[in-house]
Order: sequence, then structure tokens, then C-alpha cells
Amino acid sequence: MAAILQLVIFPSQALSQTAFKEFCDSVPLGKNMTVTITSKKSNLVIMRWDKSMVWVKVSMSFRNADPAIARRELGFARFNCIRTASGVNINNLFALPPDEIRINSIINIDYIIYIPDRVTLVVNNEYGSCRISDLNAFINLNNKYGDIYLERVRGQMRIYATLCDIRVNGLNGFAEFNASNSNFFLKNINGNITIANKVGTMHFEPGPELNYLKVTSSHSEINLKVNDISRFNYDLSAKNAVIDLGDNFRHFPFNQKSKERVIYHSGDITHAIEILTSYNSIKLH
Amino acid sequence: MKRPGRYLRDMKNADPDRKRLWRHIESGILIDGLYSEVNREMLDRAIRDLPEILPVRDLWPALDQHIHTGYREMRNRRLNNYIFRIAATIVFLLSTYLVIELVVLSDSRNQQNIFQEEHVESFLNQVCAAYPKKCREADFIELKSEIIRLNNEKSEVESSIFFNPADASITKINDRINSQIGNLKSQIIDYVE
Repeated sequence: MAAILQLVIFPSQALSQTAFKEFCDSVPLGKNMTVTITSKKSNLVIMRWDKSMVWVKVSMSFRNADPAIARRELGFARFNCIRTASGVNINNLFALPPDEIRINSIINIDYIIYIPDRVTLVVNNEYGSCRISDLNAFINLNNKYGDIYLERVRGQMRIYATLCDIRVNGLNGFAEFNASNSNFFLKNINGNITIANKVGTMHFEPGPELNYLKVTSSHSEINLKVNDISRFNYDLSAKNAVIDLGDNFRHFPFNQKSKERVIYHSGDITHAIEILTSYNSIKLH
Repeated sequence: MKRPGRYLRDMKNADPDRKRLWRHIESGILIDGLYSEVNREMLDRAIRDLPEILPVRDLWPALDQHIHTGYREMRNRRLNNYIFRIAATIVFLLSTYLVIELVVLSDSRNQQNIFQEEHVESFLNQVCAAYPKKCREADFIELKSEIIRLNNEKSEVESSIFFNPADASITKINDRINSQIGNLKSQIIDYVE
């Protein structure tokens, strides 16, 4: 019955064939060394482990109605894992012949990477998602056209994102997000966070150890949910839009709506939330 | 416990009917001292000697026919039910697919068509023709550069080697760009009005 259902609803998927290949490699890695990942059309899952080495597994699958095309195009996909003086370079690329302009198969490349703590992680990923969990490292992530998931990460982070959904649950450290046209869903963020974005939706829920949050956006709708509101100093500015203060902020000496700028000192000087937007609203809950 | 001899004597002294019956049994029973076993041969012979008499009205053929016809009908009905069930499932799936195709996919296609038809450049030209003063303001220029940049991103995705309309991840990127272009268009309209 399931086969009939798939055949009726997704006939192309049910009839298509998959060509598949897999690589697995591991390289020793010391502290403060660099893991550089350059990937395209790949979904990365990066996790921490206790061993002083990098372990990587890559699964590449190409799906096409014609199995010969799938097999041929799978041959264009390459993978390298090279040990260098500073660490490891892991990358995948597509070597198309001159007469080919496009890959016709549906590509699915999945990485699973285990790395130790206290290393430098550099990721350049396009057309795919990147998930990093339980890692304490210096992370330099550049993701384009994919989603970013960070779970329980610590350390220093510099994240560049273009057209991504950025989801964070549990972050502690110094983080700098430079995004364009991305959506943010940040929960339990601690430490010092700076975020810049253009168009998109942004949701923030500070954690108990947040010191500083600065958000600059030109066209994003910004939602901030603060549990301990009296802990922070606020500087909220909406140039051509509305600042909407929720019921929790009723003791603020301002009207609830239509303020161009709200500055309010309620907490310790070291704890601050600064939000600046030009063309969209700020909502505080 | 009674001795067998005594037990026999007691039985013989019973009422006359019983006596007659006993005599009949006695003539055919092999006494081994314990009266424990009936002579099977005698019984078999008696069964064999039974006369063969056909019933006056034999109901069995009619009953047999009735039973077999009912069973056959039941079996046919069950087979038909099964076929109908499969046919109904296929019809249901096809109709669901058609509904999805007509309502959801055609809507999204139409939406895509609207986006494709309404190019960013023509949209900006229309806005600037309607509100020439606003067009020269710095905020409008910022919005304009942003929407043009997004449009360039869209072109980049569509010209990449991975672009495949059947690939869900590529469609997702395209949808995201389209929705953000839509957001910016509405912001531009809000700004100029």
C-alpha cells in the first residue's frame, strides 16, 4: 500500500534510481589545530568527541530516473581529506566536464564529522545545512543558502550566513553573526552576542548568563523574549517602525507603542540589550 | 466387593423382562469369568446384518445443493468486496492527488508565476513612475539596492550547477528568496505611500 501511495503521489521519486558512494577517513589532530571544511551541496553534522583526531564519513547519493545518468554524475563528485601542517582540510567538489552546465540528478551529500574540543573550525558551506553540537572551539562558519543549527556550543564564534535559517539552542561565549536575508531563532544564548542582519525574522530568548546582546537590522522583524527583564539596560531604536513593549514592560516610563527610541537603565551597567532596526518592528515580551 | 458368580445369580433372579434380555446376552457373550468385554464380532455381525432401507424422502441432496450454492456466493461476494476496496483506495488516492495538484501546487505555481512575471526591475520602475520624489530619497535607494541584491541572489541560484526544480532543497532556497523579495516589495510600497 505504501508503494502504491508513493507511486501515486510522488511518481518521479518512486521510479528514480539512486547511485551511491561513501568515504570514511580519520586524521590525528592536536589542540589549537585547524579543521577546514569546504563543501558544496552538503549537509554537515559536526560533533565533539574526546579523541585527539578528526573522523569523517561522507555519503554521496545521486538520484535520477535514469540510473546511467545518476552513476555518471556521481562520478563528478569528488572528496578529499588532506592532512596539512596546521591541521586537516576536508572538502568536496564537483568536477564537471566542459560540455556539462548542470547536474540533473538530485544530490544528497551527508557529512558526519567528529572533532575534539579546543580546535579552530573553519567551515565554508554552500547549498546545504550545517549542524554543530556540543563543541567548545573557535568556530568560523560561512554558510550560504542553507540552514545553521548550533546546539550547546561554547567558545568564540564568527558566523556569516546568507539566506539561512539560523537556529541556536544553548550558546555560551563570544559570538558574532553577520547575516543577510536570514531568519534567526536563538534560544538560551549567553555571553556576548552581536548580530547583524538585513531582511528576515529574528527571535531571541536570552539565557541566564547573557551579558550583552546587540542586534542591528535594516528590514527584520525583531522579537525579544526576556525572562529577567530588570537585569538589563535597554537601548531600542526603530527608525521607521514600531517598538512594541509587551505587558512585562508596563513599568517602563514610556508609552507602549510608536516610540522611535527607548533607552532604559534598569540593571547592571555590564548587561545590555541594544536593538536597532530601520524598517521593521521590535517586539518585546 | 461382590464375587462374579453371585452377581450373575442376582441378575438372573430379577424381573422376567430382564431375565429374557439376560438370556439373550448370555447366548452371545463369551464369559471369561469377569464379564468385562462384549464380543465385538457379534456386534459387527449384527451391524452387517442390518437391512438396507432407503429413506422415503431423502432431504440430503437438496440440503447439499443449498449449502454449496451459499458458500459459492459468499466466496464471490468476498472477492468482489476485496476488488471494490482496492478500487476505492486507488480512486481515493487519485482524487487526493488531483485535489492537491489543483489546489496547492497550482496555487504555488501561480504564485511563482506572479513572482516571475512581476520582475523586480519593472516593479521598481512602476513605483518610481508613481512616486518620483520618494525615489530619490536615501531610504528608498537603500531598499532598492537591497531588493536588487536579492534578485541577483535569485539569478545566481537559478544559474548554479545544482539548480533542479525537482530538488526540494533548491526549491526551498528559491522560495525563501521569493518570500524575502515579496517582503521587501511590501516594505517599499509602505514606504512610498
